[in-house]
This record gives sequence, structure tokens and C-alpha cells, in this order.
Amino acid sequence: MTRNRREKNPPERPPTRPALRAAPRRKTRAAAPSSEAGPEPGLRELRASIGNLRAAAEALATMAIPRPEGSARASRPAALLQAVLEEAERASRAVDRLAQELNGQSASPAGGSVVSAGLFAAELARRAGAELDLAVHVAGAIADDLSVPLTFADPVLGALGRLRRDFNVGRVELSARRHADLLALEIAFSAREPEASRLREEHHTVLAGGARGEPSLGAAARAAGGEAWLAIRRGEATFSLRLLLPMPAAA
Amino acid sequence: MKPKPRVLIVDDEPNIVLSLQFLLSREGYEIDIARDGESALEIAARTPPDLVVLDLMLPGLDGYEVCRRLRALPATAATRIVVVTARAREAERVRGLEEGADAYVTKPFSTRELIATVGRFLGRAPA
Repeated sequence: MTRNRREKNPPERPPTRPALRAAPRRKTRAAAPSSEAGPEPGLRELRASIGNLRAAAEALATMAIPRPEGSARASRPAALLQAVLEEAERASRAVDRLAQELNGQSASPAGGSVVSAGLFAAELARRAGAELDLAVHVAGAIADDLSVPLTFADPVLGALGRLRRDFNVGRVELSARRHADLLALEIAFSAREPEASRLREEHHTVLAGGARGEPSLGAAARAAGGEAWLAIRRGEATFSLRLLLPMPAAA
Repeated sequence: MKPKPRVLIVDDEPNIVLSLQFLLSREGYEIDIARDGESALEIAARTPPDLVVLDLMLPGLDGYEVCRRLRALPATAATRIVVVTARAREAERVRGLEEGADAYVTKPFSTRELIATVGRFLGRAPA
């Protein structure tokens, strides 16, 4: 299987002597989808690389390095290893700070209206009924301070359309709550057999985009710094579509 | 004699596998290694581990799906799963735990803390 190297557009290097031993297989990834553009893929690669360096240095540090005979000072290899350990910890802290700053900047999706989660739910229920013949029941009161970018209406409707059309779901229950700094939207439903079994196998299709060209909910969530997935309760025919989004500024 | 606890490391990064394999073997664990999700499920079905150290970004089946399938298998439904990943956003962390992980560790991490976490789950104090 051909897989892409993790490094994107690595700089051209002059020919080098053959390595003394085979280089370890590099981590490979499928090309990042367009929704993953921006700093996040680079940040992940940096995290992974620093993590590897730090773990290797810490593993090496568990092996005794002898002091020079008659010397109270650490040997040069030990001092160099200590330098690697300190720098790996420093880089770990730096990447965490960088991620915090970058994620803080990208927490609110650029452009588009932000509406209260209650209004979003009402709009979703109206459109799902009219366009998909799908009943959306809003469970419980939704707190006033919860808000959602209105641009999520189309991807969520796309996912609901998949459920209605491909898995014969006729009714869903929507709830919204705060989870730390995230908005947690849950759309719970049950499915009958054989659709329930098929949904367990093909759950990723629900998030991949609607049949009428609606954008992928999974990609939209990741692009906004969130996550979307279909949770399956084991041994039951009940499911829930979960959407976690960094809370945008209140409407 | 009590068998050594078995730890399955699932990661396609050879460099992290090298370090974790060394450090966890040193703690007295029996180590299995899988480079992708499918192999992880095969190994787990053949020799159920006591704990899985699981990366999320894997070729083929991703770590979330591996987590979900391990939880669905009777032999591994109660196996401890420690996710070790470069996915560090809060939403990713919440999802990882909701998908069935017992702990979620973001890279870069302290191997000492990871070993302590593994030890706690397996009823051992770190050496």
C-alpha cells in the first residue's frame, strides 16, 4: 500500500552516505482533508515528534552512564543526555503554549451568524420536519448562554437526512448542554433492525455529508476545533449523534 | 507464578514504540505491538491484553474505531485503554473518553507519568 510521508514538502537534501542501519519506518498518514487545513496538522506533527524525542531521552536516561574514574562530575555523555532531556521538556511546554494560543484564535469559526442553541434547535426542528419529514423533539430547556454558529444547520441537517433516508429513522431527540468550554449537542434516536445493524457498520457515512450536497458534519466540526461522531450504546438499538464545539461568542 | 500483565502498544510511530516497549518491558510487562488498527484487533482477539496503549491516528481503522471495537468484544470489553495521542484539543479528549478510553494522554508526555498510569490500572506501583 502506498502511503504518504508525514512531512509535507520536505526540503530537498543533498545526497548523503547510506545510513549505517535501516532507518525506522516513518509514520505515514493519508493526506489531511481540507477541513484540517491550518495549524492543527502541523501542531500534531510537532507534538508527536517532540513526544518521540522526549520518550527516547527518558528511556535512555534509565540506563546508567558511568562517571569518569575519580571524578565527582557527570560524564560528558551524561551531561549531553541531561541537555536533551531539559530541551525536550522545554519544547513540550512550548508546544502546549503554542497550541493554546492557536486554538484560542480559532475557537470561533470565522464569519457567519451565531445564534442561541435554543433558536438553533427550533430552526433545526422546523427544517427537519419540512424538508426531511423527520420529527425533532427538543428535550428539556436549553440554557440561554449556549450558542451555535448557524452555519452548522446545514451539516447537521445533512446528517439527519442520512439517518432519515438511509437508516429509516423517523424521530430524534435533541438536547444541548455546556461541557466545560464546549457546547455539547446530542441527537438521540433508535433504529429498527436491519437498519440498526447496518448503522453500526456504516456509522461513518452519517457524518460524511448529506445526500443533497450538505457539507460533512465531521469535517465542519473539526474545522471549528470540535468533534462529531455517532455514539453507539452496546447491546442496544439506541444511538446518539454527538457534536462538541468550542463555545463561540454569545449572539 | 502469576503471569506478567500483558500490554498491547498500538502505534505506527516506530520511535515511540521503541521507547515505550523498552520502558514498559523494564516494568515487567509482557508487550505486544500492533502498527495499525486491524492488527491490534487481531492480536487482542488472539491474546487479550490487560491494557492497551492506543494511538488515535493510525492507518486504516483509526484509534476511536479500535477503541469502540475493543469495547464491543467480550474478551476486551473490560480491558483498560490508555489513549496516547497528538490530538490535544478539548473536544478530542472528551470524544476519546466517551468512546471508551480509561485515560487520555496527549503527546508530548512524561513517560514516568504514563508508566504510573499503566501501573495504577494494572494494580501495580511503578518501579
